[in-house]
Amino acid sequence: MRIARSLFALRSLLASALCVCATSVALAQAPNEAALAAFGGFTGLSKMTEDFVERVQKNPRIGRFFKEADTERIQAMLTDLFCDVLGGGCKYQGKSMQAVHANMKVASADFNVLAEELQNALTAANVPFADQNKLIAKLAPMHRDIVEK
Amino acid sequence: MTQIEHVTTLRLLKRISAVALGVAGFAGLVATAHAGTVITVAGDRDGLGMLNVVISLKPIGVAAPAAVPAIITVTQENLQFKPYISVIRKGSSVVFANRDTVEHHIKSFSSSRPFEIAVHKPGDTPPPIRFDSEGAIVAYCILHDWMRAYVYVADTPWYGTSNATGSVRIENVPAGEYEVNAWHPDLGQFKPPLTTKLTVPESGIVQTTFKFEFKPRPIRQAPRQSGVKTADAHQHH
Repeated sequence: MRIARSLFALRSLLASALCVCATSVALAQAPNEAALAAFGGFTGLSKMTEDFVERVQKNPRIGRFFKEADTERIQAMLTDLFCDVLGGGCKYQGKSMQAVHANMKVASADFNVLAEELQNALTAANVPFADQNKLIAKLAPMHRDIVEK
Repeated sequence: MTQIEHVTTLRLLKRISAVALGVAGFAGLVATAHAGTVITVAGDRDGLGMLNVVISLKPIGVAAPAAVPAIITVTQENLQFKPYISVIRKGSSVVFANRDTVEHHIKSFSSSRPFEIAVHKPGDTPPPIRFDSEGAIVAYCILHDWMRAYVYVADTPWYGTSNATGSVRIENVPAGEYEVNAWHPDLGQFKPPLTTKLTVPESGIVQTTFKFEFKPRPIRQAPRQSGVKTADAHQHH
């Protein structure tokens, strides 16, 4: 626990150090391509996410949640989120999962349908099964922030 | 300034003026030589004219004439990027200047040119960002989810962006064969632009049309709320 906490502190320290450097300066984001290799690198992950968002939007059960949504921005932000949880060197800076899903009344079954569509998109992108599971395992805990009880 | 520096500066000046003369000469040549006008009209699924379609003409079989890299400015004003779409020549740069009274946080996720300008203070003008790959880049503001800007990087001097009727007029295009690309923001990052070929005549007009298989999404606007302070346009001197 203590280790985890100090790691966290170190991370925030690093993050704030980076922020100081980044102030007013354009920094090229350098994704860690090796961590994203199974997903086709950052570009591959980005393409897969675009396909995923399109699948979700067309889905008869959960498409309604995305009817008025800015799908292009969702695609961009989600790519960053996926890249972040995969250790791909990106930093998700969007709103919290809780904040973006507030008042949407997402049911557990909706969440599962979304997870299935993610698997479909990953399979279509030829991501190996083990790597699919790696990503899904990282996203699964978000269930509690997204689904309304 | 030392002697050597002085000589170098002189040489540089000479070279610059030579280049300038070359460019002027080239421009003169284009104006008097055989050149035509290209008009394109872009429509949506229902045949309605489409705004913000970027048209670029690439000569086939010959290299596009070299260009001096430019620096353009895209501002953040009244919680919007301005302009919404910019077209620049490959190798040119963009300055993202904050003219609002609030902070912005600009980030591009585009694989061809990811960049980030974090904590972008009011009145701040960070260094220019150079674009060396062809294609479209989208930049968002992390803090204001409706704010976005597109930078389309073209490797040709012949381009334009459509008006509300969907038309673009590009003049003084040297006669010859061209690949014409039509791109719209709603194609997203990975769908290719519509493309066709045409022959520019030695004089007169050649026209072509493009049909996109979708209806363009409305451009998101800043919400009208009293709590958000924006720069007052009248305060600029």
